[in-house]
Amino acid sequence: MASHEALRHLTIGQYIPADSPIHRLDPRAKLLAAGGLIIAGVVASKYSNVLFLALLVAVLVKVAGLRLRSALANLVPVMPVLLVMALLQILFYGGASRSAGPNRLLVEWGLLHISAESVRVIVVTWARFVALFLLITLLTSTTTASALTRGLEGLLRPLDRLHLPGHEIALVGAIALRFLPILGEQLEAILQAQASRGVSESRSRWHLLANARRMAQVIVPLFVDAYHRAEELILAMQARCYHGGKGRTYLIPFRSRPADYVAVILSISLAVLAGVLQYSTLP
Amino acid sequence: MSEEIVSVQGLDHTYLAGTPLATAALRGAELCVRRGEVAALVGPSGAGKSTLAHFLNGLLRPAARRQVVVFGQDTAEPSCDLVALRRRVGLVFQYPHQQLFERYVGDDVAYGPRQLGLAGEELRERVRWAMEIVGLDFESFVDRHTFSLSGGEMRRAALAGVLAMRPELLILDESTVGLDPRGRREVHALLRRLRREEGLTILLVSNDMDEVAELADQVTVLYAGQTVLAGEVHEVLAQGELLRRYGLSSPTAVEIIHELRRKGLAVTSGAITPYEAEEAIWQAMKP
Amino acid sequence: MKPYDRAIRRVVIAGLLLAITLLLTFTNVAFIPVPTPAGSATIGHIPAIIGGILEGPLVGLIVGFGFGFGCFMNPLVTAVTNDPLVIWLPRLFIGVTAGWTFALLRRANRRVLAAMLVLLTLLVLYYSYQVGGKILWLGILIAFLAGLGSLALYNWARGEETIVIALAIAGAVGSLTNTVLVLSAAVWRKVAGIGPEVALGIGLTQGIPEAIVSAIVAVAVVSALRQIGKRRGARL
Repeated sequence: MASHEALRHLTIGQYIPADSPIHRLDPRAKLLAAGGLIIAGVVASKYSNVLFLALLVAVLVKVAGLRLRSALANLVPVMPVLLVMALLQILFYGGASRSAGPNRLLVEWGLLHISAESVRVIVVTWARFVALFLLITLLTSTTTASALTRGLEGLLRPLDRLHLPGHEIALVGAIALRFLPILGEQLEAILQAQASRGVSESRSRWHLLANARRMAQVIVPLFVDAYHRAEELILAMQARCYHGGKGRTYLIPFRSRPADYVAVILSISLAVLAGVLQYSTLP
Repeated sequence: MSEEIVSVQGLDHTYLAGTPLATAALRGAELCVRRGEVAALVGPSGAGKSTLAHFLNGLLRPAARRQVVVFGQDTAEPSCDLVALRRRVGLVFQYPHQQLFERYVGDDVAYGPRQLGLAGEELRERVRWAMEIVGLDFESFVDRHTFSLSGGEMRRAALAGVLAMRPELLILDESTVGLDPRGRREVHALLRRLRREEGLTILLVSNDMDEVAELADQVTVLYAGQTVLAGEVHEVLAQGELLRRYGLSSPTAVEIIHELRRKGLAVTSGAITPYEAEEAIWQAMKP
Repeated sequence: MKPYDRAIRRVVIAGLLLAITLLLTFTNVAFIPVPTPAGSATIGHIPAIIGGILEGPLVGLIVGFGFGFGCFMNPLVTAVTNDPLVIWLPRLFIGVTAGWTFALLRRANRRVLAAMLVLLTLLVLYYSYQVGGKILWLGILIAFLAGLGSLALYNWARGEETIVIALAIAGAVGSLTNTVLVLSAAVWRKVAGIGPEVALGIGLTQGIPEAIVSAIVAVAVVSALRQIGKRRGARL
């Protein structure tokens, strides 16, 4: 695959249209639910709650009608990193002792000391990583990017009343999403045009300055193009007397349905449950 | 019969292969270009024309051997020298602002030759030649900001940048879209001149049938990634029905003559350019 | 300029810089080869730096936040750790420090800049003296490299406008903010066996090339956007 084709392979999840209960949820509800579960996931560090979360997410993926296998397939490029991390943790998680207790030594083989503690850390890290990854994939597969930004803006609405720029922040995200594919095409075109005129492909790591200069040759036109588009958009917004979020209404307004409230309450409760497990006496 | 410098046979290509969004862009496409001629590659949007063009200078490489052979080199071979290939095959992209990336016009035109190792006075002369031949006065344009040029000037600058590499095959990917009639005529004159004076072989990727009728010697029609028609320009462009089926219009001259015949005037068909049509109509109207 | 116009400008430019950030973070273009063990340096933080320099610390903050978000969503980064305090929080400050540095230095006295360079060199030499106390050859090596580096920098800076120097320093500072804060957070949160020494090692080997790259790219981009630079024409 030529370097300029890399652009087509964005690593973030693709929206997969379907008609599942999760697809139908209001994006604000999904953001809140996902947010709660992500917080729970980040805090989790014991077997019980990590496995609980992983199972929960797997169930949700099924409910959304997604195929578990293809979602996990996206993890393949990350495998090497995960393996290296696991290796590092086995080797360097210090403090193994021969007595019983959480840090007891399990295996000793030459320089290798594997303690129960390091096993726990590895398993927990893997499970948490997979759970979080699936959760984010779930969110991006069941919600279009524009729905996500609208959901974000909806959630930030209350900030307007506090005279904080909630609407503007959401707009930044919307603009970014809008221009992402356009700039992507532009970048690809720049790479192709430069390649067509004979730039050599050697990427040796020792030519720091040369590589930096070549990177600049690609980046600078991209920034210039982005700035031109920005100036046009600014002009367009001014011409339409855009004055911010106050009093703006939508063509298709949000409608909260009972299912949305249920989803949020349910996931927050489950997240709290996971948190409780964290501080319980379970392993 | 002059040398075949491009030979594409049975070319397949899939976009985003291996992902759920994979689509077949080319399915067994074929193309043949001889030295010194002007070939045209036509087809409706999405037929795969640009994709095919990208194979000809090594931006894309075929998955199997013997599918794309340019200047005697099979681009699927790992040993194929892409840098040398791109010196001989110049590709001009559709939108000039995608092609220009240096701040100053002179630098952008000089980019290609610089990569080839030219420097100093030789480089300057090459840039001067390339700019003058596309109609950009060297002294007044060399230090201009590329992004301050008008659309037509940008197009010329992009073309100059490619010509500065002295390619043997020039591929123009929909390069006259959006030009006003005078601009288009100037580009046509330039292409004819290049062919005459520099012996350049030209491949036009275009949807503009009038332009193809004016310039091309032979035409290849691409539809849904497959080559469906190929042959001498008069043969191909006269087949109005077939072209319509493939989402293409006929040259204006052909349509006019078709209408006249339908209305009862005994005009011989076969004319594809306004000039030829004028002749034919004149003949038909003589008492 | 009407009051809301400034907000529009900031929102739009932040949005576009964020788009570039996401583009760089999620494709291979964001990595360029460097002579370090990791093999490649990231440039995803550069739009945040540019935002901070050109439009002020607020835009730098927003784009930095977006960069953090992009890192958070990127499996390649979260495989190491998904602690948002390590991945996300430090990124906020990239654009802020770059912006402040640039604002501070753009009209600086050249003598001040020279003094800063001398001070920096002395600091590094002192550090190398400390290291040399324990590992002699390493200390000498660092001192040697520092001397070379300083001479090279001074030579370069002599021929450049102040604003270009300010840009380069701002770019480097932004990148170093990224390196220092992320590594500090990693040490603080006890990520995967990264102790203070390891962090320092990574910081030096990865952070310095990244800072150099950031300086070069920052200068290139801002000079193109603001028509800075002595050259007024093609170099032919």
